[in-house]
Amino acid sequence: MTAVLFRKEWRQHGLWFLILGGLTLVIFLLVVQGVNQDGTGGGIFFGIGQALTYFFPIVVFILCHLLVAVEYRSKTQLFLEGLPLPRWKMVFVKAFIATLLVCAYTIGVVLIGWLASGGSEAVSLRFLGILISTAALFGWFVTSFFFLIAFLGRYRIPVLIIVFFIFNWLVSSTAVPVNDFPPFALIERFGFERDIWPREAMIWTAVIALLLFAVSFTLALAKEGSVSAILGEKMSYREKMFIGAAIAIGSMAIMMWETPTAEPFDIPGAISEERNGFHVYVSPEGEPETADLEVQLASYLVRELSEKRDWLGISEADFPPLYVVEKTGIEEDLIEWELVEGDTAILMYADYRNPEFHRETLMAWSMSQTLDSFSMGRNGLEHRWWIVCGYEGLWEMEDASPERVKAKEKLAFDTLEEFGFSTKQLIGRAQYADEAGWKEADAVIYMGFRYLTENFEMKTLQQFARNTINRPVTRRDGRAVWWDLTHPVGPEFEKTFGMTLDEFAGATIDYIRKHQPDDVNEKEESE
Amino acid sequence: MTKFAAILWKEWVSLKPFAILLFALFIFGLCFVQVTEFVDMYPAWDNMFGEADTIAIVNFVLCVVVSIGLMVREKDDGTLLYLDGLPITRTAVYCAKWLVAVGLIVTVNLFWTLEGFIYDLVSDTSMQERSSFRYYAVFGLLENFLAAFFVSIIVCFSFLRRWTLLVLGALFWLVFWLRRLEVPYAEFLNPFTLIQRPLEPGDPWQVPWNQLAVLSVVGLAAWIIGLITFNTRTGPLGPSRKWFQNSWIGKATGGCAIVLIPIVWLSLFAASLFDEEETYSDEPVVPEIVQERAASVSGGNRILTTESKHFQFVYRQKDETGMKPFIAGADEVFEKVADYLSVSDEIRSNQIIVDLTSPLGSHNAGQAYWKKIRMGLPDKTDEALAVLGHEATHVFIDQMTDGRLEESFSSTRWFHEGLASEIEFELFRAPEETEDYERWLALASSWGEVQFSELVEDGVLNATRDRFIVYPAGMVWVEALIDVYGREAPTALLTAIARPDGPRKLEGMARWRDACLAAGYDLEKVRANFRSRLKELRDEYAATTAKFPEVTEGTATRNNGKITITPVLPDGWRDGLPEGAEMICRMRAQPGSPPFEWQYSKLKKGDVFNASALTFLKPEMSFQVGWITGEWCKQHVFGEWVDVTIDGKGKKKNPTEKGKNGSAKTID
Repeated sequence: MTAVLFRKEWRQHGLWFLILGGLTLVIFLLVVQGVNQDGTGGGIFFGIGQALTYFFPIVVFILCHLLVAVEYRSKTQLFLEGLPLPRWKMVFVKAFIATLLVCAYTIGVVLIGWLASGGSEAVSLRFLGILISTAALFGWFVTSFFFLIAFLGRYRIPVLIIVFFIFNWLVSSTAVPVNDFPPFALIERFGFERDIWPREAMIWTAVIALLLFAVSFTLALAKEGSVSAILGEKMSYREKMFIGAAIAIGSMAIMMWETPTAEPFDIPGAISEERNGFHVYVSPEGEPETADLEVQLASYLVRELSEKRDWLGISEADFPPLYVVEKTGIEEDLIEWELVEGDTAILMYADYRNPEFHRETLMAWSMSQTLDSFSMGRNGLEHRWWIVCGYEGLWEMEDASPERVKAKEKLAFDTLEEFGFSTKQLIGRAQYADEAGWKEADAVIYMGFRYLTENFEMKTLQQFARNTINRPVTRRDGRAVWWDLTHPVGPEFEKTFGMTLDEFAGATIDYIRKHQPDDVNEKEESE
Repeated sequence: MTKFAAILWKEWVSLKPFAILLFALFIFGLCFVQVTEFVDMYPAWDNMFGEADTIAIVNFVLCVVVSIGLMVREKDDGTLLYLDGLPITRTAVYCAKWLVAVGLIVTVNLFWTLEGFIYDLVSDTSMQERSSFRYYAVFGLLENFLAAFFVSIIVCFSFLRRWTLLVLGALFWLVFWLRRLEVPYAEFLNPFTLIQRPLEPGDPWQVPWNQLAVLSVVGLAAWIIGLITFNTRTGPLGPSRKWFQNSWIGKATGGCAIVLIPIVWLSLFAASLFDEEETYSDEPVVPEIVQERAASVSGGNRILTTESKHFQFVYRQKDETGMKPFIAGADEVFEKVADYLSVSDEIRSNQIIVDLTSPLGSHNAGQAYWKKIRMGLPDKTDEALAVLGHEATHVFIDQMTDGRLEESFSSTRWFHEGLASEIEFELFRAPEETEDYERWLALASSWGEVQFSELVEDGVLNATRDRFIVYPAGMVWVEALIDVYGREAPTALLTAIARPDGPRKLEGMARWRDACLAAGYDLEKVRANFRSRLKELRDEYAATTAKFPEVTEGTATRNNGKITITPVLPDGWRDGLPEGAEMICRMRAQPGSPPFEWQYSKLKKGDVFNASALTFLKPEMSFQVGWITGEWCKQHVFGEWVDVTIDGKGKKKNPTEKGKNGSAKTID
């Protein structure tokens, strides 16, 4: 009776088996030709490996569709079930035929590939054994997978789509080394690994394939009104929609976890200082005789920045550590910075041995970068950045020499004279900075904030900072946008200082004029 | 209600569940974005107009879902008989179905555009020029034209039932192939390039009328074919189709069709991989070694195999004489490289296959794969052994890290090539031979510092610089590493990357931060050393590099079927040029254009570069000017890509923004 079943399958699908065999051969030849044509492919067996991975599953899918899905779709399995033979035998014959054909196809292409190589592939018996066994075993796994899928009837396409998406997600968006696991480990180095049998991968691939076949048999052998028969029904329109929506929503939900890996950051051997849970690391460029300068700089930064942090009311946990790396040859400001992926640290570069270097500037800029970083760039948006720059100016000039303060006042005055200053330029700081220069724009806003310090208590300034720029933001948290939209800066400023931004801009202009450089004063007096 | 309105209503009811699903998905997506994204950082310029590829693909997918069963379902479900009984023509049914399907997609597009418009409003900054209504109008026109086009095409082919997607795929490849063959105006047949925003915000967005006309003709033809097919009383082929399907001839033909369709696909796929090499339009420059290999391969000589202690060589009989000294020296190369990298005995015990019979990729003297090397056989044995040393290093790197560097190859390619080059020059070449690499790097970095952050992002590097710069830059970085941490440092770094509990698939800077931390190294110290080495090189060769100015500006004009690039050259640029020095230029239609579509030209009379305009059918293009420096440096050194509007003003490639506002500087 079993032989009759084999004959039945042959009569029903024999032509297809032959076509699929020919198709497999043609596909493999084309892929081998394609991947090697430009000379970078790595050889015939590399091409066969590529075809096994990307194209052979299509052939096996068609094969299993013919052997299983068509039977249930056209309900001819009911006739088979009426025959006097156990149902497992019926399924076994189909599984056996699929396995036999797939093994024949895979082994066939490896042997033909060997012949076609014309000796350009150095093939030892061991290498040939590895090639044949891994190709056949991988093919068997693919067979077991699609054999099971074929029993899922109308759900097989949605299931395939889901599997495809999950697989792609694992490969491209996670750190999971998919190729290390069976069955993919089998063909990871197909055509190149000639010495070592992938024993573990072979065993586990065989186990997985057996398990998949076991599930297939379970589905097929379930009693009357079998699961497979029910699944074999055509999907209704509503069902299609439901499945489609579920897949779409599921894919979107998966994106929730898609965040770039945070950069593991540290600088071994850097001088470190800690205060109230805040860490500063300073690393020299070369090997200086003493680390006095680094220690002094680290102590200064940790003291000042932790004070500023507490003043702003930012918690220890939200405040990332600061790394300062010496870098000679930086032009102009002697300070640069670099983004650390994942915002796990603030990385500043400074030419701190240069006589022109000012540690106050480094401190203030580091604070600004920290505020930008811990808010995921939201404090860096221009409608808040001017606030950060205003405080930055105050902090930078806190202990600055009178000459530096004078220079800043002059810069603000010159900028005002040339580019003016208005609320639009205050809020639209990016364009103002683009036209006038960012240092110039910083100088103007510094003067504005200095005006505030002279006319309001520091507590009021502190309150304003705490209400506007001290909110930590985490990735994938869109609530920050809503908070910003519902807490616009203008009304907040007015509420805190009792003056509108227009009045503030006007007051800033007056204040800058009041502190105009001495040479301008003298000129005016002489006139 | 008119008859047509009734049938429209019927089609709407039929598609309503799908419309509800789309609307539900839109709402879900809207909420999802609100919860997880910063929508006030979504300017339409970047997020909508700049995502034209994605939008075209999404439109295509939606059209497939809506249209693939639109007409044939009536036949398959047997409801066509009912429709035939109604006092309405099939043409009306066809038009109604088409209109409803297109209307549905257009509605979805409008929702998305509205969403993008609102995000643009809240993302407004003083620097960002707000997208004009003309932009939205042109974008909407093109996007919705695509919807109508896709629906027409898919409906036309949907009568092929299960073969529809395969034929569509074949069509896709056909267009790709035509472009590949540089068939005139083939670019116009690609609907996925229809939406292309201007170069800069504020530039006028010209409607691509020519491409619209071509696609309209194609779409109209498809629409008419679909209409005729749908109007065929008995359906396509009718009863004869059933007979054909059930006969042996039909089955055999179907089988052949199954074979043929993948053949078409795969042939095109294979064709897409051909000729990746960069060829100069004027005078083809094919590396000597590749020419030799080509001659060797076509010679039809018998293939021989010889073993040494560490290698198994596969070569042609005609090379037998040259192979003898090469084979004699090969094991020593193996030992030297293995000693340099402190390779374990286990790895040393494996033989490496060296295939000298297969063709190589252009510009390659050799290629390495796991335990296999492919290379040509240069005339000089020393040269051959140096190439073998380079490739053996690649093999050992892969073996020592168990392929971990391959996992994030775009971040590690520079190190692979850098270490292999360092070993090649250190162990197998005369000290003065490094000068060529040093000059190459000195010139390239004199135009713009070669940043470490660029090296670890291969995509960024390739988009802006010559991709081969990783050889000298990687080599100098490895020298810096050795200078700071000693000769065992590369091995320590590889060991750190291969540690079993180490993180996998790390990309970019993170890959190298992790490796250095695990090895106990300070990456910043190495970067500092790398910077100072680059500076030394620049200073050393400053007198010569000053003679080769970088070209970062120019204009492009279309005239008489040619694109003419007029680079902005400094006054007196010819003064003091070394003998044999000349300029070359490569041009691409868009940043994503594959290298096989690039056009090359040498400097012509009037200090211009020329190329056929057929490749450049869109208003924008990019060019990259490079130098052939003559004897001073064998390598062609290219500057940065410059984006220009054809017949418009030239633009320098995005200058680095100054200032602190939200931008982080990457440095080295």
